Amino acid sequence: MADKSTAMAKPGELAWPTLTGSEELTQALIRSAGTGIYILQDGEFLFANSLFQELTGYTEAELRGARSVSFVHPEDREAVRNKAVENLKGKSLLPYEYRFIKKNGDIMWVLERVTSTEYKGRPATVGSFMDITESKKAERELRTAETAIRTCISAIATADLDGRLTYVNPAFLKVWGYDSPNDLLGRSVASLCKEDKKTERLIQALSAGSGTEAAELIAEKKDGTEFIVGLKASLIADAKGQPVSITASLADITERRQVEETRRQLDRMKSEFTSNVSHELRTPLQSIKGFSKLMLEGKVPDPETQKRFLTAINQQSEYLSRLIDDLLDVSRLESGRFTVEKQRLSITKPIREAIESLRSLADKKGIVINADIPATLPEAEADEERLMQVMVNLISNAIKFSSSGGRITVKAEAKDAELLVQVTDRGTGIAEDAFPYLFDRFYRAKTALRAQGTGLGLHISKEIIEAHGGRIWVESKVGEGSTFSFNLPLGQHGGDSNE
Amino acid sequence: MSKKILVVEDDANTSLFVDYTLQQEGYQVVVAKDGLEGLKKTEDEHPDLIILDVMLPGLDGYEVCSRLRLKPETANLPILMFSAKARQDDKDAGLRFGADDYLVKPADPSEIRAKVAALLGNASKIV
Repeated sequence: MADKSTAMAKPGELAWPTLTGSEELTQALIRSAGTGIYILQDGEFLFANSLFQELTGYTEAELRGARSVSFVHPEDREAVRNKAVENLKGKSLLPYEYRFIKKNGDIMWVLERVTSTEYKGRPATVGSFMDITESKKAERELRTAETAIRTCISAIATADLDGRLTYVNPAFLKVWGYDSPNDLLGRSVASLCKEDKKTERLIQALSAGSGTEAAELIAEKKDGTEFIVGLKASLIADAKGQPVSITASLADITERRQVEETRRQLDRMKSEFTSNVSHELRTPLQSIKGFSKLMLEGKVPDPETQKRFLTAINQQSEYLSRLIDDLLDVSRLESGRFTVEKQRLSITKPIREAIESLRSLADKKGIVINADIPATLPEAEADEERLMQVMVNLISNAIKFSSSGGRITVKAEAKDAELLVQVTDRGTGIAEDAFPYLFDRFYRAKTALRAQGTGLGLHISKEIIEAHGGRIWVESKVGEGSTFSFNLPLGQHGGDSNE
Repeated sequence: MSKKILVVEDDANTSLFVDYTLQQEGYQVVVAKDGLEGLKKTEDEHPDLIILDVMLPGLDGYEVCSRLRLKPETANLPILMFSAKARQDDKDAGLRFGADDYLVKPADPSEIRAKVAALLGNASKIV
């Protein structure tokens, strides 16, 4: 609000003819004005129209002689004084905002302009203002909403009814891989998706007044990457309920869909496994039941044949107990009861023991196992029994998939801060497309040899190695053989065992 | 002339067991280790009955069975499916693919004898 201490008024530049006002005309103008109007002289109220009194809550008697500055919020006083001076000197005709303290103590935001005049031969100030409290509030709400949308982790966009983008938030840019909204505004929504028809149908459904639609679409990033977008779109209507635009919140749900797909696959494998378990148990049981029954019936008089049948019964019993061990490990894995008991040890022992335990199996197929293991290896934190289980598994796989006369190499070495163990065979090899599934639960090679395994060994091995903080992987070529490798971290104490 | 039976089975022990059981009964037995060998031996050996495993490497038992049914000379050849697949679905599938009977593993020697005898017809059972 203006103080009086201002220069002379600059003559107005009205295009209208000068009003040669009567007192009556002046009064009518002031009454009909849609703004609060007041006159100050020496910084004090000389006059305020009825709208001013209505807006501020002060009566004529309370205002007369009161200093105008006392009604301005203390924080706004200096700024108001400066703006008013600019108005009065004619430097700026722009209105300014400040907080007016009403009689009831409420704050009213006003938009004000002042001009200088003369009253009874002395300088005076005429001011007028509007109550803009409501629009200020709306502006604040808008800013809040805008900030929320701008910083929201969901992608949000608006489009016109033709499906052309009118706004995108930063998250939207990030999801689609664009740098600036300018790259997208005005583009059709369909051009960002792979399924144009579906997108168009969605917009049509919305425009037709369906209100809200949820959808999943295949979308395309700036670099061409396809992804799955989940979205919820709504129609924005004007005050009369007429649709004016569309807004949508969207998210890249590719990963979620992939996780779901993996889970479905796992469920499928699990149910397939349940039926396989039954099959796997029945096959060795056939030998045990069949041969023993034949002998009990007295149908096998020849001692050599008897021995042969008993050997088969014995082998199949052993296979069954292996299968049961693996099944128990898997069930522990599933229930999270699978534990590794780590202690500092030299890993050469479990590796050598594993090799020795499989020596006779290898000999029977005429397969040589070479051990390339240094005399001293750094100690590692490991579970001896579990580690041996992994080695037995890898080596027996190598034997299984090697032809007779083959050679298997078991190599161990300390490299950087880890131990590297490798089992290499020159057997049938593995097709590359099977690599991703090799360590999956219940995966089995699609060869004649598949029936020999439980389909669980590599999965269990992977879990054991990962529980040690290591990694297991395969390199293989069909017809040339395979190398299964794993590493174990040596940790900060991973010094030489001779230290 | 004794009846000839072809046993198509990839598990060596099971094959040995069926082979022995049937030979004890006086049948002549021919064995095959997979589906393809089974089809070939059917052509070469003209068996009177086939005992067919389902889970075979390469061509599985269902495939072998339906192929045999398509050929006029084996369309009516008795086929006994002998499988560790034990669910009702599996049995239904076996019969749908054209098997005459289905026997679940593990089976007693007596079950094999009985099924085989029934399929060949009691009258012509032995020699």
